[in-house]
Amino acid sequence: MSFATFGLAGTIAGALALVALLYLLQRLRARRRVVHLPAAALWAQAMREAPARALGGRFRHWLAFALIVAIALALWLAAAHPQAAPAETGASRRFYLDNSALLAPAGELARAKRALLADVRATPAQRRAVFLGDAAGTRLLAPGESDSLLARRLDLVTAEARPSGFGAWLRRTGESGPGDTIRYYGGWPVLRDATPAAPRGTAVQPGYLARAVPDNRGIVALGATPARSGMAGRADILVAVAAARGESPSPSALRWTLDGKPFAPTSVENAGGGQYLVRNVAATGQVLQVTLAGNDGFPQDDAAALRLPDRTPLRVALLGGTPDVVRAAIAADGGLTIVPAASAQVAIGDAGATGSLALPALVFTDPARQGRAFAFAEPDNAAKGALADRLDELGLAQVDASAIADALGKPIGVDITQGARRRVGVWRALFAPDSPFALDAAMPIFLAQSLRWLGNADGWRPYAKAGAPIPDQSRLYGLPDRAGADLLGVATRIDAAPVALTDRAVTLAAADTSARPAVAPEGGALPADLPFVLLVLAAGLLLAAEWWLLQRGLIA
Amino acid sequence: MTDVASARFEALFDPAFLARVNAMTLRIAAAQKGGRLAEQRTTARGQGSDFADFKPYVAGDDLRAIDWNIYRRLGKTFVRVFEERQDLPVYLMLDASRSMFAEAAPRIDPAMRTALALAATVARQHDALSLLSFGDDLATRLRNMSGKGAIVQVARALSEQAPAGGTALAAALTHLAAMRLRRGLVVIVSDFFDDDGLEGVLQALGRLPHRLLLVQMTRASDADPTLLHDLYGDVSIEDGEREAGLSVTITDELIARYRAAYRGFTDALDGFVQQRGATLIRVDADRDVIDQLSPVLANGSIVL
Repeated sequence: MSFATFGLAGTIAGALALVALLYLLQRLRARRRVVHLPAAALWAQAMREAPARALGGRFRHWLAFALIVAIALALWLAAAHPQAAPAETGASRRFYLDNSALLAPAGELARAKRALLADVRATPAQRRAVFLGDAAGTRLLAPGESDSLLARRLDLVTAEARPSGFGAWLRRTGESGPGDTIRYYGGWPVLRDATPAAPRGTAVQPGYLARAVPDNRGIVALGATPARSGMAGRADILVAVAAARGESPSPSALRWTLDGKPFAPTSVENAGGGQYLVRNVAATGQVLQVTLAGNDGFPQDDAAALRLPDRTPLRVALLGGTPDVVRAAIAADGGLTIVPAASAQVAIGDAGATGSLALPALVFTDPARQGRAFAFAEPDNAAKGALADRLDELGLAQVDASAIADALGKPIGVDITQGARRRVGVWRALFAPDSPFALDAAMPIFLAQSLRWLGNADGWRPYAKAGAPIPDQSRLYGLPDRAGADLLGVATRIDAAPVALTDRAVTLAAADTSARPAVAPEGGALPADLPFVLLVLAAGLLLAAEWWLLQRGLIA
Repeated sequence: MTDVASARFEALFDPAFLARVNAMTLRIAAAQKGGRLAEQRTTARGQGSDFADFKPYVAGDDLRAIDWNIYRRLGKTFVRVFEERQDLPVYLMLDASRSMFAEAAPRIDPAMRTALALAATVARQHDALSLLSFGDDLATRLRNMSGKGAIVQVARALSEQAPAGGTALAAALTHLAAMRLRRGLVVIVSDFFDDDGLEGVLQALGRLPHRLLLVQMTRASDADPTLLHDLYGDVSIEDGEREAGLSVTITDELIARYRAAYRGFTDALDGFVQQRGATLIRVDADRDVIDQLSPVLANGSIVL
């Protein structure tokens, strides 16, 4: 038997301390019954003549003391959470709680947690470890840690609408000793498909398998692409649906919203195989959500959302100090619209004209104020590195820096600093009519890319799928918003954009009703908590007995 | 009158109970002169039916009292004088302290029945009855009542009696002595458990210029506390007069000490009664009070 809360030594020490404390209390403090007698004065006289009660006097009420000690010890031992000693095999147990989409339906994760806790308690503390099925494979319980910690940590675990990472985790797991076991708590198809990847000598067992939803159907893909019609600022939407049984849902089963408002596509084109196309949707940065009508018991794949790109022209304000060369280049760019400063996304002008506006700005300056020819300011310090790596995207690679330096008589350099908002500072002399830069074909590219970076204009993100890398289109559209290719962990939001489950394998796995292995609890038929339950029961019975005896005046 | 008082009055003013009181009398060897004509013997000479002596006739004597036989034999006029019977002032003091109300079956009920029986006896003898109660203070409830009509008033006054604080019997007796009342009979109905001790009570009793009849309300468990089934272990004894109960751990040794204290208490009371020539009646609160009073007071078997 082991004690989960205090350990053996702590439990014994606490029990002894309790007995001693109760003994002292029994001696020092007696519960008194009230007796009404008119001769209290004579009793007081008798008391005055009797020797005072002393701690070392004769001890009475042995039976009452024994009863109280029994109750206190039962409660104390219950608080120590004794557990039946699991069989010692020498092999290690790893427990994997796959909190992915298959455990997301109501009640599944709670049942899996209960099974996990029971199994963990039935395993020697030194030979067990518990892992969570997130992207990092977080270890919930290290060998030797108390399972009471696991209970508290599990309280923070929620199911996430994303594909399982168990197979990948299993492949990352190294070789283990003979007889080692991995117990899995999640979906049966995941376990079945991942088991072959288990390390040699390691048995993979089910600890809990989520119930199948045989009639599951769901949205398995949602994406956007520039409209095939060639209309600027329009996108074509593809949505794919699948059903485990019978026909795929028809377009009439789909509900569409844009920024939460109902949206009725003019036509939905059936592309076959459960795929539907909606063409020429205005790409203005709205959130498009598609919902599958009906309730099939697995709601995680019944809705998907995508933020459409904002393909509207960037609004810029041309303020004082803007060179004519720049005015001409901007006027020629169809992706830019010249508007008053009040409605602009980006301001263009000299420091005096742009300084009073709370807008990202392209500022024309001079060498006296700015040491380098090009200066970029970025509020996110962490993004400075990414910006430095991708400066070529601004067209600066094509610039003949030596020719410009010769013309200006100054070296050309680039500086990246941190500022309150995005800002690009360029020497005004670079845009003089006879400047090599003004005559360079890279100048309009630099202007266009710089202004889009300043306007934080997003690249085109064709889809955002949970568990998949962020589609990085920055090579096509300019500087990235984020560096790298992060895994989209859950079906939540990233950069204010929703992420959808949209995984055909998960949708079909949720409906998998194939024969599955029986799940046997770890540690045999008797629950590991049996000693704890018995102690609580005993304490309750003893308390009831004490109350009964007290009510009948049989104990003090 | 409250519901409790009304119920108590109905229980007290019971014709059957009062009928049993008829057989009781209170006689005093010689009452002080100066009262109303009544039934108590006095040293006063005057009207009456009991011949006492002869005396020479003087002008103003009642001519009907001249003994003509003596005049015929001696040639001198003598008149017959008679013993004059007058009333006895009786001061009936009832202990209304909280200890009398303390127990599950409070002693105040038999004490009130005892007081009413004595009051009825006094009223029937046309003696002058004053009813007083004491707790923290002495209170005069009725003054100089006599005749059968007084019984109803006494019963009503008794039934309206509420707990009146602690037992300050010694102070009440000192107060009574200071009132300079006509000498008579003081009847005290009490448990005599005074927090200040019995010694002070006895000293105050000794200073009273009246004859004394003490009625002690007792219970068998007073002398033998082992008769109380709930008196064991750690208890808090409450008599209703202390702010906090007396915390006691009952042991054989403590019970023995209590018995000794109670013996000393009763011995002191008995010794005083014997020395003073007073009368003490112990009434068991758990028994019928008339049964206990009758052997002592029936048909003048006691002369105070």
